[in-house]
Amino acid sequence: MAAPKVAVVGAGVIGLSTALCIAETCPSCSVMVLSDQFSPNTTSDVAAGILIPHTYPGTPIHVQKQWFKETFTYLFAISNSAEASEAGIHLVSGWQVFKNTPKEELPFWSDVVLGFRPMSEAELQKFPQHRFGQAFTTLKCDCPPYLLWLEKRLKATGVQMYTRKVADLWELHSEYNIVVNCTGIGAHQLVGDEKLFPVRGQVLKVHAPWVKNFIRDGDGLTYIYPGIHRVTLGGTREKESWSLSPDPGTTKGIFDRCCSLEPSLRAAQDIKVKVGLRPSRQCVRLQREVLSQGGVKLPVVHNYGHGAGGFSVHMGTAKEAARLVGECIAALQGSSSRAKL
Amino acid sequence: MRVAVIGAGVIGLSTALCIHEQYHSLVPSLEMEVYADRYTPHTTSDGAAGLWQPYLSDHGNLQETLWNKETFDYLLGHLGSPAAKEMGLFLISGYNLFTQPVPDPSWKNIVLGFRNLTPKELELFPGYSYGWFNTALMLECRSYLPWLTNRLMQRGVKFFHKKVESFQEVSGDGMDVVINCTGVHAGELQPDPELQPGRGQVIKVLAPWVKHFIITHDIESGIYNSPYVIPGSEFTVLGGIYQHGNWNEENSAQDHKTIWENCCRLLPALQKAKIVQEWSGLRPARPWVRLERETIRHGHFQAEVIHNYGHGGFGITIHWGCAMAAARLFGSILQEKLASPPQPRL
Repeated sequence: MAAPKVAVVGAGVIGLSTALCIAETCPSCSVMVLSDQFSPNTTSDVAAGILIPHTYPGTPIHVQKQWFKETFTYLFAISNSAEASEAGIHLVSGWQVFKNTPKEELPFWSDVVLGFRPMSEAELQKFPQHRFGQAFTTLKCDCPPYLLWLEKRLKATGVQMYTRKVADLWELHSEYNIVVNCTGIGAHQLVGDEKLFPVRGQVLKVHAPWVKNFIRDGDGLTYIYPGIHRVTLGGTREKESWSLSPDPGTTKGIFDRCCSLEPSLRAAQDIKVKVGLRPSRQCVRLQREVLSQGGVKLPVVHNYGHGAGGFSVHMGTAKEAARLVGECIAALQGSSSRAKL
Repeated sequence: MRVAVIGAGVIGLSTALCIHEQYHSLVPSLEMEVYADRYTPHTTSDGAAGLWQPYLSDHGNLQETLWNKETFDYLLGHLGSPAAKEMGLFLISGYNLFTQPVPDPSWKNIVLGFRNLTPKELELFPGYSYGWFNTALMLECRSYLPWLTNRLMQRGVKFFHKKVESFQEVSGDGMDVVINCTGVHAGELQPDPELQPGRGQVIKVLAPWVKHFIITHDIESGIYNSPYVIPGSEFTVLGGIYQHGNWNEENSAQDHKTIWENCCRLLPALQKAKIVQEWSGLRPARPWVRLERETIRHGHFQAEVIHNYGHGGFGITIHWGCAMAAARLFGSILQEKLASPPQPRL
């Protein structure tokens, strides 16, 4: 096959990073990104983009750790380069605090982030309602800058991006050899995946530039993540809620919870409210599938369902998806050479 | 009772407030006046990034270590208060980097979460093989000095824009106590060969992605002569100049080049930072802080002077401990004045 044409559907962090990995591992491929939304209107743009993994119940821990490590290593190198500010990648230190000591004091990712250790008594005094905590340094991907930087790198590699609403993956079979499905929550309708469900997250993006450290409650519901220009305050985890409209009562709740962790936030300015639907699943759907109709086949690679952990594992799953695309190409070349006999 | 405070940097204003807070209720007749030729944003304090961090070694000066601790604890206590933002006070974490192992500093248990750097963290800083991580405080004087000024004005303290040429000038007017917080220019009021300028220059940039302070150390070059990057609430301060004995307050192109190149080598992302301002100032350097009483006699008058100057590059770090010590000296002066009846004025 001369130049396999690969369509990546979806332009959030998963779609863009997957397209980049495919373009880099398969230089002969012609890769195109198709999406109805691009930054700043993707789910990724709402997320804080902090690298603290979410645990997928359906995926072996060593695999999740590998994905996280690959992502962390990749972003660490960018954060240390001249491109860091353009890419929106920066280091941030802070604390994860628990009202009750967690069962697992050492999460699987503790040796991937930097300087992980339990908080000292003196540090815990700042959080009178919490009895245990962990201090570490991790990375943050600010959006839109990170997505815009990925788009720039894609264009430099020759990958085109098109605004297009794909109603059915099959509609792409005549134009493309392989389709990569990075549609996030859109996969619920696009491929009818009943195992995929939204977990609604509302966040506040505020101006509070004196906040330099992150603070996260171990219950995952309250967090403060300082970004380049704004601090993301969160949040909510509402399973099966499809509403994209900000809720004012929730806004007040988030603000109050964050202020009790960090009182200086009372002086935060210019509060913007955003909502995103985490594309949640027991495990990330990262697998090949072959669609066929009337003897015509369309190989598909699925890469969606990252829930609350998209940023933390995106490079790991992108690399795996690119590898699966490689398998699809090999299979296509195998069958086409068989056809030649 | 009349008190004149000379100097309106972080030392002058905080000493004034500390004394007024402690003694105004005891001495309702307390009248305080502040005299300075420079006010915020033109004081030496305004140029400082505002990071709480003492020098690496206290040279056995336990007194100063205690004052540093008092300051840190005092500020930490204010972190959760509504005043924190107005004061320009916030927590910040960061790195101290070395080219060889060094002993832990006297302040390791004062700051939060002090620890050595891991090998992976050191990968971020090629050329440095050892270091510390800790969480400390920032106190930005461009906010703190106006905050102190407001508290003082609310208490009825009066401010005068004036260059005081001698102690007599202020004390001859019926002033009972003069608090000398004149920083690097203290020698003009009373010669002090121990006091020397420690000239510094900084570049202020916009680099909001930098969330940590990074202070490098070169044992040979001496303190602050090695690049440092300190992110503030609005600007990031790049520095690394310490010139002992240099009185020049003009920005030097050579120093600019040194700071810029060294800081960009340390943090490549800074190359994209926008330069907003350049500033030079004179740290009031002294082997140790001069914090003591002196009775100045001149002809027929005498005044009690409390000296509080010579805080080098750690004025913000030590200011409150010194203010409290100065307030204690004030208390003993007060005690003496109450014990002996006042002399009739001729």
